[in-house]
Amino acid sequence: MIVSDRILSKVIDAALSLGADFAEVYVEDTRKRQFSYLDARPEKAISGHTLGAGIRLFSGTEQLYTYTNDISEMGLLRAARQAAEAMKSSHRQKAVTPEAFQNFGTVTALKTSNTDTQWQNLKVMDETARGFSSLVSQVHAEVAETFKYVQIMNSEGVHRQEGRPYLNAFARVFSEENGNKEYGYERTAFLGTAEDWHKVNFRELAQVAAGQSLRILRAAWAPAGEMPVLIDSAFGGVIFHEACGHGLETTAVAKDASVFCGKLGQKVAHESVTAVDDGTLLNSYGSLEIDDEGAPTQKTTLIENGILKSYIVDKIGARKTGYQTTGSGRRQDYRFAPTSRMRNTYIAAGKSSFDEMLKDIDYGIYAKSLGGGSVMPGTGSYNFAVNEAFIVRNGRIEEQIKGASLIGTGIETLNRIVKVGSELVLAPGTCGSSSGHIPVTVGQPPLLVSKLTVGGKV
Amino acid sequence: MSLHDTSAMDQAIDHLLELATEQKMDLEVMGAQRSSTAISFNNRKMDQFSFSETRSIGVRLIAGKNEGVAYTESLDPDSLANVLDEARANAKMIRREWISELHSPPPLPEMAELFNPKLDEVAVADKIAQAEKLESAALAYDPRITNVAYARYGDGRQQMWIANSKGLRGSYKMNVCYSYARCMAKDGDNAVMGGEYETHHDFANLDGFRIGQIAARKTLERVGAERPDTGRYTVVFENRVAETLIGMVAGYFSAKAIDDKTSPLAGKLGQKLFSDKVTLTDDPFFKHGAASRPFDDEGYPSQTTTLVEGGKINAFLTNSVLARKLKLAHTASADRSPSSDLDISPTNVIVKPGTQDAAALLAADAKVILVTDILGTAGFRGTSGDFSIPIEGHLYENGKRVRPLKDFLMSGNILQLMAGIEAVGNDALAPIGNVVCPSLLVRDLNIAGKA
Repeated sequence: MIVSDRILSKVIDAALSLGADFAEVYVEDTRKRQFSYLDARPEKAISGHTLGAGIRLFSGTEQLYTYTNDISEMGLLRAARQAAEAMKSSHRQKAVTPEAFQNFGTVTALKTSNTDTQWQNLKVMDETARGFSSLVSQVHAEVAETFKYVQIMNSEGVHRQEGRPYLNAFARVFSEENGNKEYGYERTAFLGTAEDWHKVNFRELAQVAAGQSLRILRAAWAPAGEMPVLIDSAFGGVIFHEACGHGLETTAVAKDASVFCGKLGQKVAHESVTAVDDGTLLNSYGSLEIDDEGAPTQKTTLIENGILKSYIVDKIGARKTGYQTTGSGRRQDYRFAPTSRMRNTYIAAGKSSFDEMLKDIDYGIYAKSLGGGSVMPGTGSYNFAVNEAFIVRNGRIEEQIKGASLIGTGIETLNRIVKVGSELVLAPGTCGSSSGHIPVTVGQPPLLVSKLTVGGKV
Repeated sequence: MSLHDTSAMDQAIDHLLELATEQKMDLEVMGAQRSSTAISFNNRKMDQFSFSETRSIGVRLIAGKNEGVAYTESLDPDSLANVLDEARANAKMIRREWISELHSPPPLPEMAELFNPKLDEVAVADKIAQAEKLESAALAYDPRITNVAYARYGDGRQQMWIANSKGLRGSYKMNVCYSYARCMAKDGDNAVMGGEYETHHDFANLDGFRIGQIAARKTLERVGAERPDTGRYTVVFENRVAETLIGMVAGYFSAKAIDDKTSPLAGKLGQKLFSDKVTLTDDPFFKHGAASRPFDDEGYPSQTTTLVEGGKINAFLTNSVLARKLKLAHTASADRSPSSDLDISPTNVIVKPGTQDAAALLAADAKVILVTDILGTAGFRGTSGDFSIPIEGHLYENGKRVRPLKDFLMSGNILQLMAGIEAVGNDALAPIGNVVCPSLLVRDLNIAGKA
């Protein structure tokens, strides 16, 4: 516990004193250690401590948020009174009854593993990548351990706390040939403590990044124009995350700024598409026991056989739209009011085999590994970068290409997902939106989109 | 902590420096204290009101060739003692090829114009009215505006401190306010969006009504947008988009990226890689630039550096460490925050204006695409400079606007694009970030659209 029940209760009372109809305090204590390797030597060792609180009030659908890192009784009460002052209408709901809700215990100190092990892991990544090819010119590797402890109390009787330990590791491998430079990147991230580092295969991480770097270095440009695209599993799921996921968040839906507004119960995707946003997956990067509003997490079916079943709903979104919350209120840290966000979001396994989908392509692209993307939920226009891709001719994977981004619009693309493969794979990512950068996973089996616009060269 | 009370930060810095003296350590301390307000309107109601006060403090400990960094957001004596212990433990693990030297200069320069005391005194009711105006002006502009997805006013105040155990001590503060509106309109079965963003140092110059109207106008200009045919086009990048393009190459000039071998400009000092129309300056004194500052994050007085002169790479940006290591001129470009290690960043990056106005650029060829928005830069690969990114804009024929364009991408290499700039306009806008650039004309750019 970071702040005592007694103080938090007083803060809730002070926040409600001038008439808000809901009050919430979110307190966070996060410890982070970061180690990185560059130029074949230790480059950085940084330790950090984030400590602060956010106080949120509702009056109907109006939201007031204030945050501070003065979490003394006086500091919190002053923030609560200022917040109350700024809000007008009134009534008090139930009394607060504390309820313990924790999955990883109440350890507030980050128990870092032996630092020698960390440097050894980084060295393994560096040496593996450099040994991969003489064209490798630079290796940047990093590992980080984070322990985030959150405590949430609100005027509806919720008082919950959760510790969230995260492990992160990446390798970025640069290669150079005839004056051209490129890089490959591979990352792993999941819920885990120092004892879980053994789950990471550092050698493989470096090999994947090095292999990708060299392949992109020698690839020719992608073609330009519209064509079928076979998108591989794992991080391929970024297509659903961008094309659809953000548009289902009530942050956009409540403002009528999403192409998915008013489409509940309607067909928005090809019947082969079932999509889920699931906060309950064991140790997945986007998993939590409670969301950042203190609500238990859920597994939410978003689309079932092409029919829109649910939006992604947070507390204020529920007030504005009338839909039940889906335990989806999330935020980067106490600096952000929570909004409706994704957790582990994936397209469920279908029935098609990879070869069967490949055979359907006369001329198109096989997108093997994807980069980041973005979307404008209001128009549904989304884009994402392809790191590694190949030309497909007459059902056969041929030469490697680079430099392609893919674009489309949400509902149109969902209807063009004509076949879904049978092997679902998830991959971690970081999602940036109005409540900051949060850990998520995306995922899908390989799938075939009948037509997308590929941004290559003429 | 209250909004203007900085005594806790001063005391924390004093305390850390005392501990450093006691323990005979070389220590650099950086502090930051921020406050902000943000107000948004939706559906003619205040949707969100937020305000904040935060602070953080970070140390960089130097012990011979060893260096360690740690930070905290808690300023009590235990946390401060702990942050030193952590930095010391981290320093044991990081051994540099050089010895970093802490700067012990004469008193640090000031730059009072970064802070407008009047902005601190604006009444909350006036801020709310500003946000309300953004939305109501946009809705009143034309009945085809269906809603205003974002109507937001905000302001921020920040004070930075730097101090070290060699006697350096300096601080400066800055503040800014901004308004932002983004509207939607129906376009058949689809929707279009457009927006406007402005930042100011004087609240009186922030005209929510005008910004709301511009956002509405830009939105309606997008109605009827079509997808262009795939091909090669002459393109004009509108000033705000040109700023994004320059922002994509600005990091290449960092001596850290040169030393790390990740910048494509490594080993190319003195080479003519940009078009001879391009002169690029790093200017920490630029009026109202987002990155203006009196001294850098090691405490060296700011200076102006010409990065590209007539297309030739003239200089790289350095901090004291890399200037020595790479035998380059020291440009006082150190960048760090309480939570990060010593690095290098450009300040305000300014492109020297040309002579032609935007209309002349748009009439350069019979058919020209004006790019008005970049919809995401995930498809930019910094190391090679290759890009494939989604854009929006308008088609011009013989200098006249013909129709809006949507759902297409441009592809190429950012350095080749910089080398191919055929004209720089004279229409740079007041900065909203740290890049100032007029519209740019480029020929023969790959566009992926229809078929």
